[in-house]
Amino acid sequence: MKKRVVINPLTRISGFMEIDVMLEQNKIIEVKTTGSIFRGFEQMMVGRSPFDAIYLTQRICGICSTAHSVASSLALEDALGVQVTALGRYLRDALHCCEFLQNHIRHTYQYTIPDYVKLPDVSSIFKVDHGDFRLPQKVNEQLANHYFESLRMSRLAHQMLAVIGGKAPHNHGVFVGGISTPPNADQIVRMKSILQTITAFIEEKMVPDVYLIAKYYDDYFHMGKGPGNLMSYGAFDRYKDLGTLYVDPLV
Amino acid sequence: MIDPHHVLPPEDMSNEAIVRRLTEQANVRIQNGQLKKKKLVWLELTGCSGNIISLMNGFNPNLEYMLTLMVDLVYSNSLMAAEGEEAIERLMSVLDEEFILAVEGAVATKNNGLYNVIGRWRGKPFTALQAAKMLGEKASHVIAVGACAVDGGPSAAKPNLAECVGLSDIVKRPMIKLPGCPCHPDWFLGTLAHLLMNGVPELDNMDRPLLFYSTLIHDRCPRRPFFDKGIFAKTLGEPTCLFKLGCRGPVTRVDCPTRKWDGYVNWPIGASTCIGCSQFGFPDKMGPFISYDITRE
Repeated sequence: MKKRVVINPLTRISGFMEIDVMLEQNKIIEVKTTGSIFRGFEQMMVGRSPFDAIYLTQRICGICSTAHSVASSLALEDALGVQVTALGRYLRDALHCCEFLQNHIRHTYQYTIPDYVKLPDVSSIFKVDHGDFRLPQKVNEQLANHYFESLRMSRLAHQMLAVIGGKAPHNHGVFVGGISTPPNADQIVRMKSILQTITAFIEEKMVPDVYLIAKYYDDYFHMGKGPGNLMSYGAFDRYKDLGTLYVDPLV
Repeated sequence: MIDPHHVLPPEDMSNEAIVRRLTEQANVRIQNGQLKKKKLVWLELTGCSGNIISLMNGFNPNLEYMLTLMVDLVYSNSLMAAEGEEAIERLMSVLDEEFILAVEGAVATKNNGLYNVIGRWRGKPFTALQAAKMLGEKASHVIAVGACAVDGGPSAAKPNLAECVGLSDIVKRPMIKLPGCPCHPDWFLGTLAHLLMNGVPELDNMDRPLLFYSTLIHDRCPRRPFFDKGIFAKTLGEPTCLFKLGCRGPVTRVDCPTRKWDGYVNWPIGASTCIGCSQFGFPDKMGPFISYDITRE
């Protein structure tokens, strides 16, 4: 017997998506996903000053806006034949890294953790009628505390971004050739100091929390499988002095 | 009866102690039902969902404070644990109760709103357009948060294929408008605090709270002395006035220069030009954001 399950809204993804699943004897036989927002950003760029793309494309997405400013700058550099200095690239990538940190922390705690951790009864948004909650009470409590602690950490990541980017989300720092205003020693040491706090949280809490959840849900690793074809354009890669720090372009 | 939370002298009068006492008292009253938190619905419509991200960046108060002590947040696409039909049921359940509505994002109107579906209700697509109308009519107060909700913003940028409009084009009623791309967390949380404590804050003739939107950026810009002396930057990164590079500070009315962002560390003009994101007509009427060729020497 076939059964159809539709999930919309798929909450906690920073956007709008529908999942439409067809089941037969408890096996998924077909899945459709639909992104359910259209604004037409490509067409918005037509006839506009090219530099405006760096700012306007950030408005595609609130949680990853810096990535769009970086992509626009790279495209403009390509079109204008601008060679970026090593320092310009480091600074722009450092700014981009701040957003990675913000994004990964929020993705882990605000967007993913509520599927595994029962959050305290302080607000209606944490209520959920059904779910697959398996964590022992003590572990659950610890991760719920980290949910709230993580909010401070993702804020700090955006603060670090704003130190050279002006504000976040939707920064004013990324530009053709690197970043718009060279940072001074005061700003650099401020970023390094914030980074230390965030790094400690990630190493001591966030990474262990992910492993902890993986332990209690190890059967999830064997449920379903994608085609296995993954592609990356690379990120923080192939620096002259440092090599690749994150990922090379690959398929 | 003696209030168990009454503090005997000599009480600790430090700010921290007073805040702790007030918080505890408020918590006790919330717990025993003496105080009821007002319900807040945060709708993400046609936009980047960046205003809720900005709200998470609030320092004092922060999101934790808002969630636990200011309001009972009933619906937020980005934050709520429930999903699918259960989430939409929650949204519909507030229609019979009193609630404050915060809306971010424009309203896509093309094809009867199908350019932005925010959920399914009774098996049918539930559009941003339907949600705006349905909840906008019933809310006790409506706050349009960010440029898109205020007047279409980036979502309505030319050629505006989704035919996006601001919330006030769809919901004909008084509302508080908080332009900005995104809206600063303090502009929203300060407005919310005012609503809870003293009702609707004093608004200008464009429905913006004077508390935040009274003064032009240009009038409080730390680079203003350079403007007055006619010293203008030729490229970004120079410390002088950015007017001739296209800075929109002279037409943008908001407290950005004194408030600053992300824990109050910096602001757009600390990095580059102001692009007028808090002004009506952003982005189309504010472009080009950077212009290298206004004056020729």
